[in-house]
Amino acid sequence: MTTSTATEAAPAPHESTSMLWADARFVVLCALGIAAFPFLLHPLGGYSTLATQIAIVSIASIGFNLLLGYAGTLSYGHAMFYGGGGYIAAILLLRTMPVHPNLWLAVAGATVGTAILAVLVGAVTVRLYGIYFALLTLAFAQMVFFIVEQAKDWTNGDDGLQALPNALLPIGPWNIDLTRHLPSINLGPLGDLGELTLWYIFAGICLLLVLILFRVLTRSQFGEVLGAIRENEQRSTLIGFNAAGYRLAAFAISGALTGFAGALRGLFDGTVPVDSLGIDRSGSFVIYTVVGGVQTLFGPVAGTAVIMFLENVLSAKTPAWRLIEGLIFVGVIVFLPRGLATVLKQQRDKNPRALFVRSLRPSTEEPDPLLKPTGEGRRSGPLSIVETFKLGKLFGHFAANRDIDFRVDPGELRAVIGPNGAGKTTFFNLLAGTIAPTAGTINYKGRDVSRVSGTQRVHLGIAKAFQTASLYPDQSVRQNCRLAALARVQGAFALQVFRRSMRLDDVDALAERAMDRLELTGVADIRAGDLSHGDKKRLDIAIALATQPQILLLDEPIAGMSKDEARKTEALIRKLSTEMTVLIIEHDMEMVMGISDSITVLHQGTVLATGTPAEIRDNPRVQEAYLGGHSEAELAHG
Amino acid sequence: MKQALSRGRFVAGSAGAAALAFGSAPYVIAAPTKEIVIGLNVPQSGPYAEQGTDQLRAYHLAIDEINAKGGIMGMKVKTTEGDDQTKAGVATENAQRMIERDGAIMITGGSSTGTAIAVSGVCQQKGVIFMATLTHGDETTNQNCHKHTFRRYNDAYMSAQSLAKTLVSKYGTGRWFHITADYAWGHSVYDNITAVVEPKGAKTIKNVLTPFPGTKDFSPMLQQAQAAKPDVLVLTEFGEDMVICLNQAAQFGLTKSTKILVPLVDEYMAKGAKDNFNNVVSTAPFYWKYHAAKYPGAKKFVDAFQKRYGFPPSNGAETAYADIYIYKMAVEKSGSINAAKVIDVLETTKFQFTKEQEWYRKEDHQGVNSCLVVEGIPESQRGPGGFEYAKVLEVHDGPQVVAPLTSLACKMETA
Amino acid sequence: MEAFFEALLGGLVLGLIYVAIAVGLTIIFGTLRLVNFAHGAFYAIGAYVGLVIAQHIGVGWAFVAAPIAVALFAVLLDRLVLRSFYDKEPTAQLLVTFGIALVVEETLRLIFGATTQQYQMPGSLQGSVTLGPITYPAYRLLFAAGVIVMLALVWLFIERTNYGLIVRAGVRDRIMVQLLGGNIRQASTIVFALGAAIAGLVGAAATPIYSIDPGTGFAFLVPSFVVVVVGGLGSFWGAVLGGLLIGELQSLTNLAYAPASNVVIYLCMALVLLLRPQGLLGESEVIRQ
Repeated sequence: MTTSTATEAAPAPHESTSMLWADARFVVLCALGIAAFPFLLHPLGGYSTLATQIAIVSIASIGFNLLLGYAGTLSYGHAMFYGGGGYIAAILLLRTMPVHPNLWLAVAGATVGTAILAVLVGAVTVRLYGIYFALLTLAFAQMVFFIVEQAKDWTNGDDGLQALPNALLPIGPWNIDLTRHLPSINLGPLGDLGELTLWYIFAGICLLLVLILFRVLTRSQFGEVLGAIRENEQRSTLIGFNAAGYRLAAFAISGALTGFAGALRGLFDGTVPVDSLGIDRSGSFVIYTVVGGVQTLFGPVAGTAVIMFLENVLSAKTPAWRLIEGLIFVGVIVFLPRGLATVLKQQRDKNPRALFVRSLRPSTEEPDPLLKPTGEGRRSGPLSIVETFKLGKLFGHFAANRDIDFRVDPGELRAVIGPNGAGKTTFFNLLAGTIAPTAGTINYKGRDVSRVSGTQRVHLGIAKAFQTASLYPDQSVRQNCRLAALARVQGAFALQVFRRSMRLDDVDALAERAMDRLELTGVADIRAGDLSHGDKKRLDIAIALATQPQILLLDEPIAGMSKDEARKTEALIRKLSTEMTVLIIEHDMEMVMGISDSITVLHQGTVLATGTPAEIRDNPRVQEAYLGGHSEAELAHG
Repeated sequence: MKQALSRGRFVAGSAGAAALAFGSAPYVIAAPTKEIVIGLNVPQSGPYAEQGTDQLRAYHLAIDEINAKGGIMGMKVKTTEGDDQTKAGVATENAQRMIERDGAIMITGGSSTGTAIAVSGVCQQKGVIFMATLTHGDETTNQNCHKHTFRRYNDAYMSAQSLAKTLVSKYGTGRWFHITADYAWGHSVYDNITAVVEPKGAKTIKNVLTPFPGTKDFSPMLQQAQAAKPDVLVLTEFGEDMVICLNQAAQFGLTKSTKILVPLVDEYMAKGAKDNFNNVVSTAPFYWKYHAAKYPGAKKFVDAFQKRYGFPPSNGAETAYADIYIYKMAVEKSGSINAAKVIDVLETTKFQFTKEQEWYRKEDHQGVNSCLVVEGIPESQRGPGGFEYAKVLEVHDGPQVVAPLTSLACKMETA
Repeated sequence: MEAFFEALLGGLVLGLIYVAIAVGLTIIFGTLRLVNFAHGAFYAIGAYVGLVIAQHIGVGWAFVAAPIAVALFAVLLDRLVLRSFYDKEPTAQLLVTFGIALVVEETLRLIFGATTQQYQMPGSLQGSVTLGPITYPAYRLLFAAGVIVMLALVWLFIERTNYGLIVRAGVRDRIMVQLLGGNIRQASTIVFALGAAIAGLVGAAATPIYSIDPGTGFAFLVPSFVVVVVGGLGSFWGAVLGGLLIGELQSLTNLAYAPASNVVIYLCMALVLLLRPQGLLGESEVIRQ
């Protein structure tokens, strides 16, 4: 995934041309590399069959890398697509076209078949997180393996399908036999052109097309969002991206590419062994991709070439070749984490305890045009914006929230305060949809949203900024806001695999506005991870703001800031509250008393009191709750 | 992108250096050679690994002997080896690599019928002769026969015929229980045995299939066998699987209560089963103790093997050894390494190396040679290393037990 | 009918192997937050050590040597490689432990060869025992009893000792435990070694039943992960319940329709992950900070 560099505005004309040149250069480079490969391989002891196999398997590795490197999701079952593609193609050849074996049909059928399989498996698995996803893909792959092994009438069981008819490639009036050799031209130490068959040219063209497709895909709007989800899934879901939906799409594309490669391999070899479905095969994609470099375009190709070549050479020399392969793999993971940057990220703000993340079906809701904030003044009226009834949340036996009746009107700036452990953050999480209530309901603008996912709530207008800023650390400040704006503009899911997001003007406008409101325009091009603590917190708010919310939940927005920064941020927040409802959790009493329209006090998980700042300050029960350690002076000054 | 390219190049570069360091020379397209390359494609892992390893020993013995005497038609014999892991997919990849990269003009080996059939197909496609050693299923020279493939080893039909002829007088009207490995070979054996014994009055109680490969625990099937109390228990398993099955059968007391039949055995299986092989009846195409006493050619082979390795050869080793010599004979007789000419000779020549005089049938390339019925002896009587594992009950001549031509489903190519 | 009871017993034996491996997996995850794809390697090393000792010294010593050897190996692995991975994402842990499993398997293949090997129990244990209508090999029953005893000891360790307390607390809130002064570092190492030793002991003990080849460890590991997922990651009783369930499921399916016996356990896992992702006895949510 390309990190966005400084200039992400819509390209000027001459920049378009230079982008075109870059693309052309890319295509030519790839084509040259592919053409030269078998000749470079020859003096090292390779041969044309191996070169063709490497080209084909590279396609599968690229497909696998879409999932691992770009979607940040590890699958341990990709062999079900690789082998599945091979088996489908072979069975199609054997059963439906024994007389006129047609390569297009066989391969197309296999690709479609594996895409469907990927969608089916993905629909079930993408809702689960991390290791569970990996294990579940492993489980499915094993199931497919054992089923195929036992369905001997169709698949010849353990011996695999053999002696496949030679499929011809119909192009126009001709039927091309890909097993024909090229004319013999001696190239000295580089071998002889005649060693190559047309298969290599065909496989090479396929590889080239896949590389181009991949490049387009990863730079597209779809790829951009995918990368955002990989970089920070928590943040992505809470600016409104349907992470599961994206992962499913990536899984489907990845599976189809791998199946395509598997079909090609089966047809090229003329046999489909049952091992093409096995655990070792699934593991091999992991090894090729990790060794080659996960987050790169050419990495999987390089890794495939090197490892397959080594396997071939070493297997004849020493029985220890698989051991060497394993050692290389472990070595790369342990000593070269740079190439595995996203997989091995150390950040623990990625829900370390939540072992799985649930989300519902992709949202198809259009944002209600009437809900756009128009800068109107505070509206007061009988219709509250958020209301909860007897809201409760149990963690095991511990009631973090119980019986919360809460109500806030549009345009209010409500502070939620309380001693440590009162359940404030839990309450916010319930409102934002990060967690589901175990009792009670939440109404948003009169509608029950208790079961609505956090992602969908963003599109309804509820946005949250985190206690610990949750950003895209490798992206610029501007890009951070753009992503949120993108979610707003495109909706929770958009399969825009060809268009680049920079074509969407709305997105830039929203992002600029959000940065402006939080006075971040000056650092717009700085990498988010390099910001000061205070700027990070403000960026977190800006991100939430870029989703055009109706109600903004800020969890300790000035915590850890210097006095000056805090006051400045306070003023910014107060300005924001003129356009939308703002809920803040805060400990800084000076701020709370200063800017809030009203205050809700939580204590031991439930509402202790609600009222104006003055009422709350003078409330004896509130004082008592805080006086477990606080003096009145502290209460007044925070 | 730059990152990956430079790292990729670096890794590729070091890989190249490693390859060169290992001394792999660039290969040449098939050109007039001063040497003959033979590909040895055997299992060195998986349930038949011991059989494969012993074949390798025999191959090396034969080839070293031949090279010491000037090679084949003055050309030195070189080998290239591969471990087929008892898997068809791996076997085909090995064969392809041996032919394309290493220039092999003859492939030999095999572990199971599945791998043999796969390699047979590849060799036919590439026009390379395949001398299949350890494959027992009928298919190799029946439904899946090929012009380039020759199989000297007894097939399942021959074993079944031999077993049945020897035993049926005693157990013909008994009750038989089968435990069969669930793949082509297993089915082939089962079909053949029942086809012979049932018409004579034997009653087949049940045939329980064991998933192949990978069954390590035969107790569910053995329990069923025990409950059925048969007169004869047929364990159609091979290699390590047979050893485990037989040992587990002993735990259920079956080795004492029932007559056990194993369709095909070799020295390593008997060793692995130790005393549990006592009284078990089986077949083998070659038994070193018996043949060395009877045929000078066999004695020469057994002595040479014993001298070099310290123990006698298994029957898989014998056919590996013989196959090399048969190929040599055919090449020299035809005067060329051209596959078609060598095939002609193989189809029409009788020869004798380690057994009686024998030949290949032209119609299906199945070797016609004797099949022994053996019975296990107690471990205490087995001599050093446990290689002397049986006594010979009966020897059946090849022509007597080989499958009749009329029943063949083989459609051999013309070239 | 007898076949059914026999299948039940067989499922018990198989299930107990899964339980032993799964318990190790789950307590390691609970304390170290480590997803250990190399756990099958512990089984395999234990089996091979047991094999060698049994063949050259004696069967009894095999049961002593195997878990000790494996525990030592585990500690070494921890110090040298795994330590830096405790804070990393589960994906990274999966990858590195997968690599380690591969390296161990190949090393074992080089040392011991690829053939399947077995050692026999001493003659006294080789016979069968009559249990009503069925006759069942004596050693398998002994094995089952032994594993149950071992699991009971592990349970006592977790429930009644200080280290065990840290295990249980660690499942819920690791950092809290550290703040409270528990020496989680030391406890973690002990628990890791313990989990490995269990797998090693079972490996050595199960070899007379199931034999050993370099791939056996991994072959048992994958279903053990199924067990852990089904039972609930981090739950001791979940591992027990899951293991027995999966073992019986496999055994009974083998009786009813053998070709499906391998498929059915993955179906089970898929179902559990869909309907109750935290596993049968896992906790639905864990308190976050």
